[in-house]
Amino acid sequence: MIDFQEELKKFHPSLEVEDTEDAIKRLDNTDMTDIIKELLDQEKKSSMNLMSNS
Amino acid sequence: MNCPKCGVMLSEKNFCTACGEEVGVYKKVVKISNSYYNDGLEKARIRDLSGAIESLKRSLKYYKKNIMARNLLGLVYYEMGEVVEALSHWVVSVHYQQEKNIAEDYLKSIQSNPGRLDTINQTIRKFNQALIYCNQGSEDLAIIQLKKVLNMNNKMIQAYQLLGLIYISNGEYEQARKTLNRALKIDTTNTRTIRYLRETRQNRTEAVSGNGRREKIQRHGDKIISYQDGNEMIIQPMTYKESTGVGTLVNILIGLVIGLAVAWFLIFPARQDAMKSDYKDQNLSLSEELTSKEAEVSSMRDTVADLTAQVEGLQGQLAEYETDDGTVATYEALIQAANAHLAGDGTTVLAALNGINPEGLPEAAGALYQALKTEYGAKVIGELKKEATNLYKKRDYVNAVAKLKEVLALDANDVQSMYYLARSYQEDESLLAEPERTEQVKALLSKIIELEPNGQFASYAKINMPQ
Repeated sequence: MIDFQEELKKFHPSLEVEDTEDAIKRLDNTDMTDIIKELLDQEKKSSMNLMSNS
Repeated sequence: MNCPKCGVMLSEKNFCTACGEEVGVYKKVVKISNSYYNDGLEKARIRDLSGAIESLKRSLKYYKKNIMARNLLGLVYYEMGEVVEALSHWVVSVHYQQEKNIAEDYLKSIQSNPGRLDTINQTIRKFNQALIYCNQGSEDLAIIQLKKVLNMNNKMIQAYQLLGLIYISNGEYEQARKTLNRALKIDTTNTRTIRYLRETRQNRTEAVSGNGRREKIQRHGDKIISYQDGNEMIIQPMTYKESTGVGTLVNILIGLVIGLAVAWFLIFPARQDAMKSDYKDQNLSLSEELTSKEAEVSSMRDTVADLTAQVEGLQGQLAEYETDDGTVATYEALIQAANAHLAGDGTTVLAALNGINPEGLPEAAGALYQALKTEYGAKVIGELKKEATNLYKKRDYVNAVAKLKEVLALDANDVQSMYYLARSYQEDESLLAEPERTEQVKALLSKIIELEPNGQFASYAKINMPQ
């Protein structure tokens, strides 16, 4: 049995066209390539540190 | 596929040939992203829009610059009535790839039509207002708003779902079912829509079969079913016929026929009258224009005739000057005569003077003409006549005719020469062939009679006149 009030909470106001800019800003644009790139950068930094220490 | 570091096109190698960046993992990630995009595309094709959104979002999670996936995601959102979401993804897509990006066309098509944008905004506001009404418990007002929303944008799934939910809450399961079915046609696998529909079906089944409150009373054949609800007898058709494709087509055809009939009996006659009136006005104005043009042409024709007459007159005047009788020719002949006089050629002097009409000559020219004529006229003509007469008398008609013609060329009215010439023609038949000979003779003798009717040569002419 559906609870009307509970279901109603699942509906959210739609964004207006003027809010498109905010919607774009809110988009999570981090992807796997960013993560890989970051990991590779970290890997490089740590190896550089190791080399400089030794 | 380009290198994420330097942007150079990648080869089949697992490293960038330009900057040496390790790209093996990157390539795999992009491939996975493409696989999700393909999955999303397949789902979108069968209208599994919710599934398509999931796949496309995953595709973008792997590779945010997958332009095709992002554009398709925008399209799917647009199809579901989520215009702002669609716009967001297209804007980001254009940000990542400015050239040869279809998202730019999508954005332009929306932005170039302010009316459409305004409608989209109004739809969203009305939906938000409906949501507020629902939260305030004003479901009737919410229903009105949502119906308006769906009139303006019949693909807004959220609006269908909210309307369906309100109908379920009000116990209007049939309405809820119809509304949710429409949402299901847009997105076939939307879990919320399916859940609401299941709820609707359950409740309808309970209502029809009776759940303790309602008692089925009787059944009339297969057509209707009646049951008692408290004190009320409810009669419900057994078979509710959902409007099918054929039914819709028939309804459209009926509508078309009615529309055509209305157009035929009401609109066409009015338009025909208006067109006739227009044609009449046009005809009248063209007739007026034609009349004025004809008048113009007539006046121009008159002008042309006047000008032609003037030209002819002027040409006549010019011809007069240019012909032998004209002033120019007269002066030329007089000058020629004067030159011949200086050269002592009397015959040429007389020949030139013979071509001049002395009337109308100015005084000095007239005096010159008379002086030359007097000096050479009698002398030259006399000599020629003497020679001609001698030749005639010697019966040398051929040479006599030549001399006589010379005399007549200098003095066209010399009757003696005319007579001898006519006689020469008569005496020597070889000079002229018949009937020309007789005609010439007649003409010469007639002229003699005409010039000197009482003279000696006239009487000779009469005697020798051919019959």
